Amino acid sequence: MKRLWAAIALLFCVIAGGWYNLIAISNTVDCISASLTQASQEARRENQETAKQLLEEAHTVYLEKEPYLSAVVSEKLLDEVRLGFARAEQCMQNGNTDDITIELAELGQAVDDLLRSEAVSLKNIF
Amino acid sequence: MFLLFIRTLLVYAAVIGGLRFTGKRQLGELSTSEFAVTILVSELASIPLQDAAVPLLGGMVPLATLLAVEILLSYLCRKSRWFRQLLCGNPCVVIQDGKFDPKMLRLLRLCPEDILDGLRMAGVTSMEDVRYGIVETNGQLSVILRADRQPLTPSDCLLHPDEVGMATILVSEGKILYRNAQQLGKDEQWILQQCHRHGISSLQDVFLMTLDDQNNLFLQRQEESV
Repeated sequence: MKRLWAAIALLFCVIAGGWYNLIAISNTVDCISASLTQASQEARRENQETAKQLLEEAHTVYLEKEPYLSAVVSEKLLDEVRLGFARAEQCMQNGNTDDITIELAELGQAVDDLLRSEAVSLKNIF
Repeated sequence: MFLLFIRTLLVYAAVIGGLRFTGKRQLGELSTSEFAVTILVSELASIPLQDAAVPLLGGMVPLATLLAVEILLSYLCRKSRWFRQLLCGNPCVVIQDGKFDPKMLRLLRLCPEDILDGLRMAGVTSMEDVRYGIVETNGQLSVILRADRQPLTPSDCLLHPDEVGMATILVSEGKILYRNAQQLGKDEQWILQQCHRHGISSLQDVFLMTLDDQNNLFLQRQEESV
């Protein structure tokens, strides 16, 4: 009977952990995406300094959450995000608005993929 | 992680369904769900080891899910006869009164040679000796011989031999196993007395001391061990 309760507790932990993980990743992705969207809008308005600041904010949030993300998300997806940040920051320094917008959009996609890979959807399950 | 949990459940259900579909030919001594867990766990455990890019949780979550669900399924099997039949199937009688049941053999997709193999492994050479041959839920063949072909037992000869006790280790390589001694109602003093009675002055000289529930004592000295 002890083993049964242990199994029930284990299943509960897995389900609760999975649920928590989904919420945590969703919050992180929402937070980063919001900053990136704003940065993209500011870049289109030729407001480079604010865009750069917002990108840095997004990067800081990502770096804060990276240890957790490394534990639950495939390194391949995280590499895409890291590369995206590096390329977007490089573009910010060059100052070409079109390039910045494209890089921010690609980075946004890479960040969204973190959530997409964990989302409970028919596409992911099958 | 939650996705892994759902996917693991689906794969587990698919493997169990597949094994139930293929029937008893695929199983050994394990039940269907145990067999499914065994083949899945061996694969799952190696994934995080082989690929460092996969988080450790990628292997641990499915593993924990499988083991926990296996325990729950075994509990449900114990509680519900219907669920047990669904998961494990029923024992199938393939030989009755020395004759094969061709219908059952077809159903199990077994040929008479398979059953004859099983009979030989059970030490039975003649079909006529068999009262029942049953393919159990784990795929093993149980053979029940006719009454006149059963091995002779003391009770057949109206003999009543003494019961054989189950030996419990009291001292192993000079160390007393107190829990075992307590279960048999013995203490350290009694063990030392037995040692002295056998001419052993110190526990260190005892390699093994066992006692069964019929109070039969076995004692081997250290120097006697090979």
